[in-house]
Amino acid sequence: MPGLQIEDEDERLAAIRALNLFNTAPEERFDRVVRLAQHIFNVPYVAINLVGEHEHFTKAAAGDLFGAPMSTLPREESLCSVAIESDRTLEITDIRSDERFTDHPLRDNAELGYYAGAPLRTPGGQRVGSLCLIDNDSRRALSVGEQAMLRDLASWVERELATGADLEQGSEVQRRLLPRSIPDLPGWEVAGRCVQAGAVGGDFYDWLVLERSGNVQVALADVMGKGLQAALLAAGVRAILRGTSPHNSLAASIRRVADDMVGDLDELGSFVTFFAARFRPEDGAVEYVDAGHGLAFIIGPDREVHLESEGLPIGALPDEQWEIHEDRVGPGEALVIVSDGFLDVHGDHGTVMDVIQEALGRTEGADALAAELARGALGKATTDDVTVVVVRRSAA
Amino acid sequence: MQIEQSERDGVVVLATSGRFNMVSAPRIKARIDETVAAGNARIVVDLAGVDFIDSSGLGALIGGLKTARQASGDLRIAAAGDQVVTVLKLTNLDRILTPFDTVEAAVDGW
Repeated sequence: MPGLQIEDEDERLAAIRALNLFNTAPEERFDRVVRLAQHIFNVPYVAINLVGEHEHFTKAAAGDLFGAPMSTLPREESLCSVAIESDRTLEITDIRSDERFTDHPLRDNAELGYYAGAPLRTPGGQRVGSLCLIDNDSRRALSVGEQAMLRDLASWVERELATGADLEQGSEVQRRLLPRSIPDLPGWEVAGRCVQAGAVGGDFYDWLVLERSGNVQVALADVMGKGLQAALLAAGVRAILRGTSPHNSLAASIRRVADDMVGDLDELGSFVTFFAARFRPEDGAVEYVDAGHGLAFIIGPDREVHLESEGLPIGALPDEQWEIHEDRVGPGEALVIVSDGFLDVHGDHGTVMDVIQEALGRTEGADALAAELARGALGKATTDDVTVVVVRRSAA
Repeated sequence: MQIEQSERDGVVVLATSGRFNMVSAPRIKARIDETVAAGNARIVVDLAGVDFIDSSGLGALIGGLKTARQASGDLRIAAAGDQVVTVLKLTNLDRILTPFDTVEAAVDGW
């Protein structure tokens, strides 16, 4: 077959890898396109095939004539592998009489008469796969209008590929912005979980050891709304907090976050609920500030305290002042901060406290407690992000 | 979500219903902005028909409150259900968005 040399195959394969879609489960955003194409073109089989180094992977398929979703086919047998050699739709109206495919392994497949494959490109122009139509028998060529419609559907798939890749990358970045190293504090454990409802979201938690005092700061914030806007604002809050906390008191730190974010929050009509606490490992003394978050607790075998306050969310009013409160985490107690996704699931903060108390009794260590709480919330139907931070002090 | 607009003693009442979330919040915020731009900066949002509000809904109310106050007016909310009141209390936003029991109470003495 002439003209089959693909330039920059390495770049193309890198683009395929970046999609992170090989060997992944079917997704409705692709399935609906193949269903629609099957209906529009009245063909028994439509697929979205991604062409990898050695084989093509069927990401979506309508009809059972050829490969099912998640199946693969060696590239030498794949017509989609041929279709990606050009930006134009490859159309084979009758494979048995088409001179270009005299030697193709599929030529003698009794179920294949007609093939049309529109290449799928990434924003960078890499042709990563094809949206293909297959019929058992030979078929008349697509009209100009049908060609355009197939191309439109392929563009739709391309947009899904691009958005998915961006969001997937954003999601990974957001995961990396969560703290990973665990502070080494004898008698104390710190752990967190953050499961965004979408690929990215407005929740985050953070902790850091304040080197000057040896105290530890933990924080949880929830930016209004969902998706990219919330995620970008959350990254801003985190960066300002990280920058200011080592050099300033808790009161000065929240003031700095509020003053620096107020313009962005006003511009985008958003606000942030925020809770931060600093504890002294020697004796468990805690100071905390709450900006409209309202879901922080100290729970232990002997007491349950809801750390309430009067503070408004950051961005609600420009001149808000936040008071610093004090408490103590005693031996065997835990400071637990959760996102309002827990409220959706459990109804009110009293129930949330009961759930934490029970989980505290069932688990040992902070990580097990955080995992248990997150699992309990995610098991129920919530469309909100689910985030939890746990500071747990050992009993002895 | 429907938005019904009426007027009572010179105060504009916007009645909404259903879920007040990221889908409906921008429409309500836009309606508040239009109302203020038209010269009516005293607004009551009637939440009697709202069974659920999320943070985007709260954002629309706070944004509307700011817009109204910038025009020397105010925004009040009326007839909020349990879930709405719970969320307002939790976030302490009931400090600036005082929930009135009824539209009449919100308009009364303004």
